[in-house]
Amino acid sequence: MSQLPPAIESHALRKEYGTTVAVAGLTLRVERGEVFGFIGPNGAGKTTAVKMLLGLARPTSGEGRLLGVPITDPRCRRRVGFLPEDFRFHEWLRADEFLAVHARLQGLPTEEGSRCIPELLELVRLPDVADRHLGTFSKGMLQRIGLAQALIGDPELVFLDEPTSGLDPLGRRMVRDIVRELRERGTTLFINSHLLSEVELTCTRVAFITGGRVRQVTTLGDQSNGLLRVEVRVGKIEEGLVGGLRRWSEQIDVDEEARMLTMRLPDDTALPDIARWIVRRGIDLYSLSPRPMSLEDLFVSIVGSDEPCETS
Amino acid sequence: MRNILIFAELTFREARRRKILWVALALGLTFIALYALGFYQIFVDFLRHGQGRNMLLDSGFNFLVMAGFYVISFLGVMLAVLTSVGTLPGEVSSHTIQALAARPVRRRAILLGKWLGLALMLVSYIALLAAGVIVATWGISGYIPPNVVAGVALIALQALIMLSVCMLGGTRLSTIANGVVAFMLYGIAFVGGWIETIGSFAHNETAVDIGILSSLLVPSEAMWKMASYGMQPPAVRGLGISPFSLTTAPSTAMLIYALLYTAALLVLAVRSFNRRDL
Repeated sequence: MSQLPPAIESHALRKEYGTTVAVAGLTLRVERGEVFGFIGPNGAGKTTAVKMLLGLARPTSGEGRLLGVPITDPRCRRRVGFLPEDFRFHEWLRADEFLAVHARLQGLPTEEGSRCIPELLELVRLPDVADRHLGTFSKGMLQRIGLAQALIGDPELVFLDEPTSGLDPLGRRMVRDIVRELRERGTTLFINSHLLSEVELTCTRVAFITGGRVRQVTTLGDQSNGLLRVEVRVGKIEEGLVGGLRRWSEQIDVDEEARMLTMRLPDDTALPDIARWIVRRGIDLYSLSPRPMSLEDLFVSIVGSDEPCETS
Repeated sequence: MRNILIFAELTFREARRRKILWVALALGLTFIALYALGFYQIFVDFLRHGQGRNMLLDSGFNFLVMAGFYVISFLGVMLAVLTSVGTLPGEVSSHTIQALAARPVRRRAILLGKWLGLALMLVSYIALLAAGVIVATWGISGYIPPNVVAGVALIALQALIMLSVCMLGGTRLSTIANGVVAFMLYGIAFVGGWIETIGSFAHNETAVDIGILSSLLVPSEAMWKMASYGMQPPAVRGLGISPFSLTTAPSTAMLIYALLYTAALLVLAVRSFNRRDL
């Protein structure tokens, strides 16, 4: 596995539309088997970034590779699936014909294509619609057939752009189950979303993007290894305290009145050192309470609370 | 090539499913039936007044056949523009293109596949209508115009030129803007063609030059003129007794130009579509 090139690699990918900069310089590396969340407010440049990686939009500058092949070469998409946002398909096609066309374009032999179609329809819980025209599908059904389309040919890398939009709670659970199943199979997933709770439930690592720039990349693990928000309550916030604590965390909020400092830490390993350091300085330490940061906390701290985002 | 054929088939299937093909075929067959009926009535009338086949009678038949072919040429151009004008812009604006273009396919496969699908449909349609007119004329009167195969091929090429114009426009313009441009260009070629015809009768060189210039801009009408010149008996051409009479026809150089023009449009369309953000 380690000798395989990364699933996604990009260096300073930039996209300008006239004077507007949609993506300012995307440098990213997603390893095989990761479920990578790409999150940010609407208009942050998420979809444009995905379009550049998939050859749908030409980068103004920069370069990228999918599965080791440059994104300028269509062959980089041989083992790649994609569920677009604003998902529309030819409504005059039947569900099975639609999947068959995509199987052929993906380069699958005809027999393999016709074999995988019932399996895919089963997987997205649409087993009895093979002969129905897409024009008769509801929005949720279209989203499911789109997901089936993205999984044709057992891709190694799958891009899902807002995969749960338009789905009811059962549909969302289905997407999560499929994502989990793909993750167990070792498929790399790149999920574009502004639904933080969905991302929190499914992703192993996330990148926060605003204003066309990646602000931070964070690993989402279990609670002991996740990002921590540590509240430190002391007797008195004296000079040098905040400065001294900066060796552990760049981000420290001070509430003088409550004699409270809030700091962000990558994990809990530094907590005993912090406690010792405070006590040695002769400062009264009333409490030092770590709690895992939710993705929403993180989002707000990175993006800023004034940016619109959905948390449902 | 495999992917081009997939897109060609998809385009053909779309025309079938959206009933474009059936409607066009039904109306085409109605046209042939009306043509045959009208031709038969006139033929019976001619025979009543004439003494069997002669040159004058043949030139009358020729006029009717040319009227039939003129309609076919017009329908071919209309169908070429109407079927192709929205094929790319429609898919781009509805986003249906995204899932297709994100497959391991080159953009040119999408564009050329659509072109090929529509081109096969147009050529088959024109060939079918032309065969109907020829068979009806021959069956009733025994008359067949000269150079008829070359004539039909030129009429088909005329439709393919307009198809290629629309494919190029569609890589950048919206459906409506593309349609406006296509019909304006066709209109320029059409008027230019008539100015040239009248100019050549009146020996007005400036008028002829204007016609040639418009043919260089869009050589569609020139193909019709080549077709109609070839399909008229030499004795009829210069008489000026019908609107299809021509004293001269565009040269072979114009035919070569038209072929190169079509190829160049497709090359430009591929280049333009390659750069298009979807």
